[in-house]
Amino acid sequence: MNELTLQNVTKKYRQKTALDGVSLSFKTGINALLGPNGSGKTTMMNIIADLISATSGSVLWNGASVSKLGEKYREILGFMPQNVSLYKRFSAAENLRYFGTLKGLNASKTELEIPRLLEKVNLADCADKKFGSFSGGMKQRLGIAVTIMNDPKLVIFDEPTAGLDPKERMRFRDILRELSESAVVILSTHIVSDVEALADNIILLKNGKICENGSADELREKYAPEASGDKSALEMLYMNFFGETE
Amino acid sequence: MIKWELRKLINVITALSAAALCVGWFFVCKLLFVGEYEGINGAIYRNYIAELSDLSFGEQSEFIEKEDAKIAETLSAETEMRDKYFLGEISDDDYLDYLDRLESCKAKSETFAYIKHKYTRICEDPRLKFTYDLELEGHLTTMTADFPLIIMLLIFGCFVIIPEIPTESFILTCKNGRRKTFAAKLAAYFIVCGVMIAAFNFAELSALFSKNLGDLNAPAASMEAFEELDRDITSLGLIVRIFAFRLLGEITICAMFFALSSLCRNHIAYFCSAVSLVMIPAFFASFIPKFLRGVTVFYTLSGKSIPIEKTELAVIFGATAWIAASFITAKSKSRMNAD
Repeated sequence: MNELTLQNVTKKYRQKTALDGVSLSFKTGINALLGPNGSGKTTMMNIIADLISATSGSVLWNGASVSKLGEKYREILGFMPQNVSLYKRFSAAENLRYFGTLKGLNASKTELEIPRLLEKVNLADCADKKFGSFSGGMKQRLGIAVTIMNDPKLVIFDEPTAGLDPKERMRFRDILRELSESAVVILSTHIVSDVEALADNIILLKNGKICENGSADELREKYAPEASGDKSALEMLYMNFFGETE
Repeated sequence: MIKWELRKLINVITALSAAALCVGWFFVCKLLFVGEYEGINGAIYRNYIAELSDLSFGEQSEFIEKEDAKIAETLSAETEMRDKYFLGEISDDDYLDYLDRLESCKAKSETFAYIKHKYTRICEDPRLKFTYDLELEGHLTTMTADFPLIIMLLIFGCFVIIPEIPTESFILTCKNGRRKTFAAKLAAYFIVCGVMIAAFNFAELSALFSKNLGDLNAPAASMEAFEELDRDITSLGLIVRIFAFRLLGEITICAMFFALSSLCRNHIAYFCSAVSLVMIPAFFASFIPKFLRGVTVFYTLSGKSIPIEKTELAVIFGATAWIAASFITAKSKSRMNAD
């Protein structure tokens, strides 16, 4: 069983504290980060992905510091940022080939995987089309394909369903469920219905601090018992905590 | 991975942008800087050079004598002609014709004085005729000789790291997305630049060797720069020296552009800083020879000369320091830092 642990992680930017002494543990399954804009979700994801360093605290993957693991950590990591930007002049297949090389995958194996990946994200007909000609939703889907192509054990998605139509969101949920059987999936989203449908564990973040942490049922029972079984219970919980609607 | 980085760097848009800017800048240089560099009227200077270049050396001598006499006669006759006009000894039209000639001579006189000075030096020192005949003088400066190449290197520097910024998050979280990608980018950039530098200098050397160079092992002319050679050097040695230092300068500039590409987060910042980096020393250098010519006159009068080895050592040291500093800056400032 894989585990990602944050130990008292703090991140400060001049006057602002983006994360304040956050301690968390992510296990295999889908872990959702919920919070308003500026709550620290993206900062936390960037620290976990080793894109930025924490001001203090540590991030451990199966007990080892991620910054010290280096290439070994990135080998099992899949990260999809909020804004998916790949190479416009490359086709979908070429982008996957290039990132296959970057991820250290065997070239011939990548070549066999490309049709399967494109099929999975419903881009099989667009293998030879330039990324620059893709719609927003298509770009997002190719980003998902790039993220999962190395069978990562830790996958981070930052607003992955933005720009996807309901049908594609369903397809993405299937991908997530399949991934979560053997990987730690961390998902940041504003779409509460996605969280409700998928998340094994929900973390509520506000002003860089964890407000609450638990499964959807636990949180619903604790904070919106009157709405038990109601589809909008998690929305009510979100509003109670953050005073915002979806 | 180098193959992928080369594919990203070389594309039609990059090549066309480089070519267009290079050609445009070349013409700007020709129009604006030649005159400024020489400190005289650029258009008049170019007209004289164009006329002289069609003549043999002996015919050039005759041309300069006649032009000198013509200008001197016109300028010296100013008072005399004015007096004649006021006394009614010449007509209005004749005086107006004279005034037109006088204005033209005044405009040309400073420029012609420079041409005459340059030519006189060549006549007095036959060794200078060597560099003059082969137009080697132009190869000593970067303002006109390899500036188009510098511009092309600048353009390619623009496309090394800055366009990667939107895709950074994807790249930096890949197994080979840091040190290996940085190394591949560095290699790809220097391969592309190396090919351009080699092609450009090869073309210039080919043009040079297509002329009648005479005996390459014979003593060469002195370089018409702000230093005098303190020892004999063969023609071949002089040519090798000139091109070796140019190559060193071009490689150094490549390194600096790469470092700037890592430092700057957008094309405008990169372009402004890269142009400043090239132009400020170039402007400075264009005035240094004039200043140092004055200084070396005193040195020559006192019997001293400036040894060339010191300058060469300084250039090699400077270039090495710049290349090392550029690499270290690029590596530390780029997010593709050590694992």
